[in-house]
Amino acid sequence: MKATVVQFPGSNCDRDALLAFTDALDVPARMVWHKEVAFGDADLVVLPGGFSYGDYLRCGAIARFSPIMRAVAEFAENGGVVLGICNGFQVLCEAGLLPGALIRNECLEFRCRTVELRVEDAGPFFNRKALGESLSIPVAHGEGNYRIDPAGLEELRRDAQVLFRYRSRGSGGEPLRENPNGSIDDIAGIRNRRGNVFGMMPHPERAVAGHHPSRDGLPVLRAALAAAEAFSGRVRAGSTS
Amino acid sequence: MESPSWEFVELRRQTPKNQIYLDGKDGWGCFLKDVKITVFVTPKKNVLDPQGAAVAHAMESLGFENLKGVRMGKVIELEMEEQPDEGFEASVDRVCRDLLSNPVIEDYRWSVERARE
Repeated sequence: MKATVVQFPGSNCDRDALLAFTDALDVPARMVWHKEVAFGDADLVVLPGGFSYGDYLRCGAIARFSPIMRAVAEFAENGGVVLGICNGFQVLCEAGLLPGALIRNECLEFRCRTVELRVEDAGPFFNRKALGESLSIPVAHGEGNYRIDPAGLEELRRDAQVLFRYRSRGSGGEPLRENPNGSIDDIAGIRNRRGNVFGMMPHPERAVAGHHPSRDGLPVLRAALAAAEAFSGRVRAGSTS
Repeated sequence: MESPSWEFVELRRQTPKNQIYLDGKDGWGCFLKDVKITVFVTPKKNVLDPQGAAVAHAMESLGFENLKGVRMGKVIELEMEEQPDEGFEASVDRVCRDLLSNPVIEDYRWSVERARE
């Protein structure tokens, strides 16, 4: 397995993501600058967090036009596995690789804290069996308020495309207000219908080491790697289009 | 170089597709020289607008009464050299749709001004 982390001007979680793979998971990873037009033999492509292009116009709106994004779109088109974290999630929505959009937090504040996530059963890789019922992972964003029209939301629910929700109930059923941004249906992360493009506002790469708030990011990154491994297996068997 | 002063071109009508047509008698060729296009991007009606809500709250604190709602968007001004043909409209629409607005959450409309003779 090989991971590639795309580096945009203004990315600031690129090295954290790289180290999460190389150090915490012992998976070879490399960085690719956004001006590149290809990323070689990656199995998993990660769009990291940060403020690409200073969040000018809209978060992720300019990064979407970076040369490397054409390669990312082609990779995804061919079934390749892409994980967008925070700003990476915003870029994937802007690029139309994931449905919906991320707008300003309802509270208008930049929210930086560790949140409790409810894991949803969203296919063979991201589910409660693989990840557990609940994860504790940091968020750090001003624009993570996920929005989608009612028909789109219905599709996400029907096709089990929601990966994580901010918890609204504690383990004893008591009400919790973990949603830091007002996102619709408490959505914290989604996948596309095909199940090869994943986006999430929480930062799994900030929850992989002893000095982090938790190590709950590890199973999330492992799930993305498992999806990538399945994809690579299909490529070797020559069964992808 | 001094920047020109601008005057609004008379607008005939606005279609649901956000296109604004110019007065037909001029035709396209004669006015489209050094035009300024102003693009207005606004949050869609049914999309939450946290900034607008906060500003509305502040306006109420100022005693501004009978406020029914505030929506915040952005204004983008483009200055362009002469555009030769009717493809101009489609190209402005394309840049509005693909870059300047996000159709999932925002609407856009635009108007044209020409440099004063």
